[in-house]
This record gives sequence, C-alpha cells and structure tokens, in this order.
Amino acid sequence: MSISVKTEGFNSPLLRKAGREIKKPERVIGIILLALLVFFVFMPLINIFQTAFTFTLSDRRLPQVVLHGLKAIPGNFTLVHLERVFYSDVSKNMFYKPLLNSIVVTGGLTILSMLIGCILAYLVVRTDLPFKKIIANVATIPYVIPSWPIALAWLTLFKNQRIGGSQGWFQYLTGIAPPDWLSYGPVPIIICLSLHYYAFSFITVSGALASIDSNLEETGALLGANRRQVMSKITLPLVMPAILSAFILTFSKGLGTFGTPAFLGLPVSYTTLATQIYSAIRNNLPGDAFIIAIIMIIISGLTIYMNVKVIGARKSYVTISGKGFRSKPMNLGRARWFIFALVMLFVITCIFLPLYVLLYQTFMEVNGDYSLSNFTLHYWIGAPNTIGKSGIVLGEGQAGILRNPDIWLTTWNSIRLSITVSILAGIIGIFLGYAIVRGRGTKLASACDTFSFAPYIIPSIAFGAVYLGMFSRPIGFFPSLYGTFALLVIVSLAKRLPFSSRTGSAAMMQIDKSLEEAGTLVGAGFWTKFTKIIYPLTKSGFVAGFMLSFISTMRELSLIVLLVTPETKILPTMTFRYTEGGYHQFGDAIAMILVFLSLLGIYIIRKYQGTDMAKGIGD
Amino acid sequence: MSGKVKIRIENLSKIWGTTKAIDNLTMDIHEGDFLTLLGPSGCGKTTTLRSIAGLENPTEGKITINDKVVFSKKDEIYIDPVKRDIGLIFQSYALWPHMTVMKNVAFGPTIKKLPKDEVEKLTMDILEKVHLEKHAHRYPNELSGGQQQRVAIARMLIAKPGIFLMDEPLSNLDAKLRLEMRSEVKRLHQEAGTTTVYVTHDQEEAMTMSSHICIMKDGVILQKDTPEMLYRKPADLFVADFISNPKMNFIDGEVIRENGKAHVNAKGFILPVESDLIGDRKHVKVAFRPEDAELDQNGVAFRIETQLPTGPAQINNLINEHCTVTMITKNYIRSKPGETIKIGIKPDCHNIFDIGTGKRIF
Repeated sequence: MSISVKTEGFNSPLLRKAGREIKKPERVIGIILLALLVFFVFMPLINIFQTAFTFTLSDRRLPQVVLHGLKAIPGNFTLVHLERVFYSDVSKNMFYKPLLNSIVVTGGLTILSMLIGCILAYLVVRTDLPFKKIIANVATIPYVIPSWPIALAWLTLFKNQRIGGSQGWFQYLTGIAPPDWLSYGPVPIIICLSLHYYAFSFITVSGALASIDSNLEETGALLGANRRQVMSKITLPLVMPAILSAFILTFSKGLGTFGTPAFLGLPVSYTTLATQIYSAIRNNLPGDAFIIAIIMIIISGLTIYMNVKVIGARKSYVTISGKGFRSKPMNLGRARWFIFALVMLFVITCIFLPLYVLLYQTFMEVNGDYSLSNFTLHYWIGAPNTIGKSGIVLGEGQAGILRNPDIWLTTWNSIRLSITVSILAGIIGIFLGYAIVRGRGTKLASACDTFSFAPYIIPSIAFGAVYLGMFSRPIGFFPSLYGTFALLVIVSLAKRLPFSSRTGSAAMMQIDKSLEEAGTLVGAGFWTKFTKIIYPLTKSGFVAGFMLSFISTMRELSLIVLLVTPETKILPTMTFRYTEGGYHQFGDAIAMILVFLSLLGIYIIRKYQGTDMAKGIGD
Repeated sequence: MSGKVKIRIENLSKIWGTTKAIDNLTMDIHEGDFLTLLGPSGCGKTTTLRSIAGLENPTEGKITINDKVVFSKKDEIYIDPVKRDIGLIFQSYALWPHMTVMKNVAFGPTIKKLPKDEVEKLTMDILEKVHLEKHAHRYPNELSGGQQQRVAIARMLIAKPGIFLMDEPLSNLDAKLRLEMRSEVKRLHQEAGTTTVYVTHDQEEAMTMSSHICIMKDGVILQKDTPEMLYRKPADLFVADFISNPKMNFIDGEVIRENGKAHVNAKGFILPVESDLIGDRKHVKVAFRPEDAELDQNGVAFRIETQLPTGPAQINNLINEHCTVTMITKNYIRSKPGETIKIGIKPDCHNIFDIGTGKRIF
C-alpha cells in the first residue's frame, strides 16, 4: 500500500513509479532488514565455511601441515581441518569421542526430560492431582533460572576428592566417596540438564493437552474404546505435534549447551561437541572449531527437517495453545496423594534443593566442611585479605562479592546487556513482523522470514565462535568489535531473531490491515500510523516479549562465553571463571545473584499479566 | 436523471498472480447516485471499491474523480486516498480499539494539525449528528454493534468527503439492527445527496437502498441498471437467478414457426415472440417471476404440491410431469395441495434467454 507520497511532483511516469515503489513502507523496512540479516546472519554462516576450509596463521604449527610439507599461507584453501577432524590421530579425541558423547548426552537428556515433562503435564492438566495450579506454576521455574547452577549444586553434593579439591556434601555426611560416574560425566550431565529442559516439554505439552476438547475423548469412550485405546488413538495423536516440537527444541538446545557439560565433564576430560568447540577456539584453532560447528548445524538442521517432515509445517515448533475446554479430570483414586507426594518431592529436588545447596556453600569458609562451625559471611560481605579461622587468607585475599566493585560492574553489565537486547529485540521484532506480515506473498518478505529463522539451527556456542572470528577485525568500514559491549549486544540480538520475528509476526497478525488503512484514508503517513496505531496495539505483547528476552539474555552463557573480555564480562561468564578456578563460594554467590535477578524478572512478568510462557520457549 | 459524472472508471483490471479480480471494467458513476456493487464473494466488488479509494493499486486502467485523474497505470499517476475526496467505511469498521470514540473521530483533523478547540467542536458536532455525543469518551469495545457502526460513519463524515464508499457496512449487525441502519444510511445519502458507492452481497439490501445496481461476477459487470429494471429485465440467466427472492421460474421452451410467425411453447405455456429477435434458434429458456403467474382456465395444468401462506400472500409450489413452478398470489387460492389447477403467465411479463450464451433475447 502506498503511503503519503508526493508523486504528482514528478514529471516522468517512470520517476513517479520509482518514487512510489521505494516509499512502500513494508518494502523499505524489508530491504533494510534484509540487508542487516545478510550482514549479521548470512555472512557469519558463510564465514563458518570459509574459515573451516582456509589456513590461518596458527595452522603452521599443526603436525598435519608440517607432515604434508604445506605452506599454510593464511587465506588459502585447505582441507587440513577436515582431515584433522575426521581422519587423523587426533580425530578420535577431538571429534569422534565428543560426537558420541554429545549424542549420548543430548539423546539421554531429551528422552529423560520429555518423559518428566509429558508425565507432569498429563498429571497437571488431566488428573485430579491436588494443588494442580501451584504445581503448574512452580514447575515452570526451572525454565526461568539458568541450567548450569543445577550442575554447580550437583558438584557441591556429589564431587569426590579424586579429581582434586575438596569433598562433597555426600562424602562429608556418609564418609563414602561417590564413584566417578556419579560425580562427573554423562550421568550427572544428563540428570542436571533434564531437570532444566523438562520445562520445555512440560509447557508445550500441557498447553496442547489443555486445548483438547474432552468431548473428543468422550466420543471415543462412547463408541466403546477403553481408557488405553482413548489415550493411544485419540489423545496421543492430538498432542503429537506438541510433543515433537518439544523434542526438537530440547534436542537442538541440548546439543549446543555448554555450561553444564563444562562444569561436570571437563574435570574428567569428558568432552562434547560444544565444549570441544570451546577448547578449539581457546587453542586458537578456529578451523577445527568451525568444522565441528558445521557438523552441529547439520545435525540440528536434520532434526528440524525431520520435524517438518513429520508435522508438515515449518513453524510447527510453535505450540498453539487454544482456549481451555471444559474437561473431565481423570480420577487418580487412592494413588492421588502418593503421586502428589512424588511430584512435590521432584519439584523440591530440582528447584529448591539446588538453590539451597548453592546458597549453603556460599556461607562455607572452607570447602568440604559442611558443619555449622564453618559458617562465614566472608564470600558475601567480607573485607579483602580477611584471614579465616583456620589461618588461611580467604578467597586468596579477594573481598566478598557485595564489596567487590568488579562484581558490581559485572552485574551492571549483565543488566544493561539484558535491557538493551530486550528493547532492541522488541523493536526489531515489530519491524520484522511488519515486513513479513504486510508483505506476505512477496519474495522479500519470505527472505526476511527465512533469514531470521536461520540462527535457530546454529548452536549457541558455534554462533558465538563465528562472531568471534568475524567481528574481531574490521569489515570494510565496519570497525572491529572484539572486546566491545556492542558485540555482545549484536550476537544476542542475532541469536534471538527467530524469537523476535515470531512474536513480531504474531503481534502484527492481530492487527487487521483495515486499522492501518483507516489511517491512510485520513492522510496519516507511515510514521504516524506506526506510532499512533501499530505500536499502541502491539504494546502488551511488546512488554511480555521484553521480559522474556530479559530473562533469557541474563542467563546466557553458551553464546557469550567466547566473546567476553575483562571489561565486558557478565554474571554467567564470571561464575564460570570462578568455578573453573576453584573459587566455588564466589561462583555460587554470583549464580545466586543471577537467579535472584531472573526470579525478579518473572515476578514482574506475572504482575504485568499471565504471560504465556510458551511464547518464550526456545530462547 | 443523472447529474454529471462523479467517478469514471476506464478499463480497470486487477490481477493477483493468475486470477483476475477485476477484468477490464469500465463504468461511470454520476453525481448523487447511490450505486451498489452487488455480487457473490470473489466477484471483484470490494477490489473495485478499494481501487476507487486508492487502497488497492490496480494492474491496468484509469480512474477519474471530479474530473481529476487519480489513478492511471499508463501515466503512472497515483493520488493518495486522502486527496481523493472520498470517505470509506470498512466492513469491520476498523475502529482503533485503543482510542476513545472522540479520538477515533478526531484522528483525521488532529493529524492535519487543525487547532485543538476547532477539532473538538467539529468532532462533537459530528457525534451529535450520529447521536453519540454521550459516548464520546467510551472505547469502541464498550459500544454496541450499531453504535460502533455510527462511530465509523462519524469518522467518515468529519472530513466532509464528496463521495461515500461503504464496504458491506451492515453485514456485522444482527437482522433487526440491519434494517434500522439501512434506513439510517439511506437518510445519510438523501440528506446531502452525496454520491455513494456501496458494496454488498445481500440483494435485498441492494434493491431497497440503491438508485443503481451493478451486478458483478468474476471481475466483470454483468448488468448496471436501476433496481426495477434489474428485477424486471435481467440481462442474463445469472442475474435473473441472482436477483431472486422469491426465486424466478425457468422453463425450457421450443420455438415454433407457423405461417412466417413464431411463438414459443414452454411445456404448454404458449408465448408470443418477435420473429426477427428470435432468429433461427430452436430452443430457448423462458423465465418469469412467481407473482407473474396467475390462475387461467385456458392455462397449463399443475398439481399443487405445497402451499406456504406468508400473510400478505400465498406461495404455491406447483408440479406437473414436465416442470415445477412457483406461483405467488395475493388472494389465497381455494384449491388444496394434491388438487389440480390451471395457470398462465401474465402478458408481457416473461423474459426469454438464449440457451448458449445465457443472454436475454427480449
């Protein structure tokens, strides 16, 4: 639709036409956005491939290069990284083992978290479980808090002294050192991640279950189907799309996750593809890292492709939670309170126990001593160079985190990063939604749609690695961004694009085109229409989207861990560094601040309105 | 009685992909007309209206309003809607849900940067005219359907357009309210004599309100005429069938020529025809309105199947071995269902159509 254009002024028909085409708002916005998408999404993708198949300066020291007598001129094409990853004496440790580990961990956590999520969803939506509402609310909390504090809590509980360092709580209480498989490696990684990721399938599947009209099931029963047949022939097929979406979501998020496998795997050299990318980048081997990244993208793309094949629509990962229908709850009978006790036990174990353990550890003067005599407030409020009861300088002379200006700076970094990203993501989302919905049917709109979806299939850690490679040097007139706050903002924005464009399109879809045209008729230009009509009508969605962006940016570790510098560090990376260095109390205390900020965020969301948590899934 | 041409549409086409929404449409709308675009959904009526308003960019053609070219593909002329002297009511009303009635109506003058007190006075005057002055500070969703409709009217009136465009404005109202609003819209047109282009798929609405009706199908105008002519002399079988409440009777007829004179035998109904118009056709379609059938001792025999009294009249569904006929009589006929009656067609009340093209012969 043309907007107020002074086309009468032009003399030539051709000029008039050009003038009008250019001023179609959805087209102008679409072109600008597409240019940005190409720069920030498409180019990084190209960059991955480019880096994977060319030499860099550091490649000269590679044994394969030396062995083949290659010149390794930076920028020249090479297959040496491919060879190293797939077919060399380091391949086993660098790729095949991590690949197997990744498949085991991701497969395991997907199955376990789906099981937990689906069962919990069924119990909450479809049975007469007591206090269902409260359980439903509490069960979504793991989605809000980051996944890796659970891993930290696990370490506190179950670590053994074999790896070095202090004993865990379990050993302190029982005197028995937990076996390695319980302390580190796939078992704790799968369990810890499942306790976080079950929230995806819980939210998605309970939404789908709630939207099933129980008449559909009752009709089945009337026609003679027993309870099991109704379940397998009617209920399950109806929620199948939701289950598959949750599956895909959990799988691709799990594949790219870094924090938990790093905390629980690296001490025993149990590596996954994600942690392997991290170490390859740390060792200045971007070529190797990107070959692995490409494989992760392929795996992730394949799962999404399968999902599309099975469900039949590209956007099938979105759950449509329809209106709640009146449904007759299933009678749990005598098992009712027993199941309730189990569910409560689970909820407490996976939410409150980790937080309690972490908090407890922050008050321990010396690691490994869980008695009350070991209590200290030093790691929160202690002065620098405090000498503890045992005569050791606490925290190697560092002050408690509340007295450490560095922590305040980091907290401020986290908050301003989250706020900046959420605001910009919301704005970009509305514009993207406008270009996609209003330009529907045009090539431009579908290009915007496709490109903004692309970051979805790139695992977070790989995405961060690409940005590190691409923006650490100037591109044309675009300055080098390494070490700047802007880089963190841009990478977070780019990774959030699928979510932004989805919420933006959904919001635009709500606004009938005629509301805008009514403005055109009385002579409102694009800007007037945008500020007076479109923005006010999308505002509520904007606020909800803002808070969800805020929370998920706040906890992001995998995406950003490779990009931070001392000036731009944020809370999750700070925790990671402290824990890596063995300063568990500091790390845990920072994690507590992060959890507190996240919970504050969710509290504000709830206050604003019962925001549909499902909308934020996958970010 | 037609005034000067207010809107002239020439060779207008709109193509979406491969489908033609409007196909080479040409039409004049005169000053003071109440022209209704009538047709089934997808016939191009709304697209035509939106093209006049400037909300749609036609693929081909030219539109002139008040002797000024507002759209021409050839010369790449496109004038903004706001400068076309039109006001439009959307089917959905398109009231902004986040603005009060007052703000909705005042939006246009406000963005034209008129002085604030002037805008306020103008708005209140208009709201008074549509009897909404008491609801000025309510939000659209706090109003009834009819009140929302009147807000939309007020918002259109405030710019004092020379042309009213209305896109199925009554279709979202319940039956009773629709009748009320029908007279209100008609009064609106009569008061100022403002040229009105009205889109609807409801033929009764079109018949009762319009000075002219334009029947459209597949992007083409089938007939543009006064309501009476449309009813009495439909241009083709589609129009005859479309303008049909009650439904027209269609009977196959055979042309019989004797001594250089021709007549049509339609299953026993003998109808005179003009030889030169009928040409050398052997078969034709005969159509007549139910109220144009009458009892006739010399007519064709039918058995009464059902009788439906409506109050002012009686609908009789008749059948014989060849065909069925619906007859409407003011006076209830005495014969009961199952009995046989003889009927004929009132003189000069039948239409004869070509079987191949469906066009009316006379």
